[in-house]
Amino acid sequence: MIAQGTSAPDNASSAFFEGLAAGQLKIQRCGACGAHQLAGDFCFKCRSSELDWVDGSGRGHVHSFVMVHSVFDPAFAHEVPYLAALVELREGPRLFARLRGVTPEEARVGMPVSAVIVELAAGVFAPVFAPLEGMDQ
Amino acid sequence: MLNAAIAGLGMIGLSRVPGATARLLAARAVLAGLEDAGLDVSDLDGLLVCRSGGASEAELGLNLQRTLALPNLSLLQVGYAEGASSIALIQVAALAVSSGMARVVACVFADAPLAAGQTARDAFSRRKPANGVDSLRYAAGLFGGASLYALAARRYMHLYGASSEHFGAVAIAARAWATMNPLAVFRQPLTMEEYLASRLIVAPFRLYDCAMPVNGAIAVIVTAAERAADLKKPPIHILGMGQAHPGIPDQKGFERGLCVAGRAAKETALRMAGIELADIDICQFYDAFTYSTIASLEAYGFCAAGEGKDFVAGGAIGPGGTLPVNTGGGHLSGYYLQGMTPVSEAIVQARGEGGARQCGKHEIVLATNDGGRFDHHACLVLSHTRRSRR
Repeated sequence: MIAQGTSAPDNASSAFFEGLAAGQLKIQRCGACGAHQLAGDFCFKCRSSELDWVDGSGRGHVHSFVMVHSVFDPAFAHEVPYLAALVELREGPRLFARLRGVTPEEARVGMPVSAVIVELAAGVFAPVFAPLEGMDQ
Repeated sequence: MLNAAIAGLGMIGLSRVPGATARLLAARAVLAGLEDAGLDVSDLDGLLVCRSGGASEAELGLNLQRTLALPNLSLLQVGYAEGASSIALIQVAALAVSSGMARVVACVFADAPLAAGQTARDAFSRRKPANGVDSLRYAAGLFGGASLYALAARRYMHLYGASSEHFGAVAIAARAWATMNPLAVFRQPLTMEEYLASRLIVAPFRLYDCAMPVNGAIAVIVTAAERAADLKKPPIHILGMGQAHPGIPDQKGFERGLCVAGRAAKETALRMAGIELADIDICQFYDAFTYSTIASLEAYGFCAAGEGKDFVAGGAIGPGGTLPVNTGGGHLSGYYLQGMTPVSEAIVQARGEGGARQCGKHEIVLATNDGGRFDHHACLVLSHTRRSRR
């Protein structure tokens, strides 16, 4: 169902993808300056390579979203139209993810959301985000 | 000190009908550029090649030297900065001819995304490789440039109250210019009703918010000002140039989609050219999507943040407007040859060869390129007059 290349761990992100497979949204915390980032070889703020993997809150808000109508990939032919977003996690990093449990009319920038890890295809995991009522941004 | 001028322009293909390969198109464009300048292949001592992100070295690369059997190269490379590749390479050519490292440099971009039996969507569905967390975009169903720029457009709508009609105004202005460009792919006038009735691709983007692929090639011949002055066509001088690459991850507090890259490149280019923003007569922006034009106007400071939408809605960028923008129809209605589209139309206007669409004031023309998701930016300030007005 999901084409090749959808999940492509590299050195910096292998722990991130292993976390997803275990149902966790892990992010990096810099041991030197405390900054959070999704996955990198160095801290984007201080270039330290002392990076620890920590459990992210999995909570954040919709920084922006789109409604995909065109089928760019046959694997998504039965899914269109669907909502996808750039989600900003509470800790700061942003990531691309599908939105679930919200209609196009309800979706809005700033909407509080929380992550659920889903298995898109055998061995391919991704976070999706659903609205979180009453959460502050 | 910069001493570089564009002496030749070669344009080949620009067609939605599949035909020659990218390498053959590139070779023909280089020859056409030399012909336009009144130069011979034996004069060429520099070749700078760029290609689309989805294309391979085998399709178009260093092999172009052998295709054309160029014997005299002292400068040869393939360059890549995503959509900013074309201007980035012209900048290298300008530095090379200014320093004397090369004397006549061809910069060429070619693309042949359309194969027989393929749709535009097929062409744009070719995935760019994405590794690590960047590959999450595909799991999220965000394919092509349209989805990423639509995210930026939605963010802009949220921050400044922009509507579909604002994006429509950009599409209509581009089409109005294209009706006067014989090389434009889409030349039928476009109305707001037609724009609003067009199908959604990745909302908020509709069909007319997105450029369509073409097969073609454009080559630009760069040489020193003195040499260019003796050639067939009037020289178009490179007065200034700049780049910017905000290479930080998408994080809280960073508004990537608001075209922050353009701002830093502008400062460098205007300072080098010795001009002010108000001296620019015409803009050729990288408008693969309607929103890009609005973002560029604001990044360069032609409008304050959030005011670009009203600027375009008021007709300022179309024919007869106060700031002519994308006067050949841009990517949207002209032809989508990535970074070379703004460059080619800037040369045409600066030379005064625009025919029915020629702008009266065309002394200083700005051309810009954007690559990635507002990751890379490059610009040129061009003029038919070597010295600036100040």
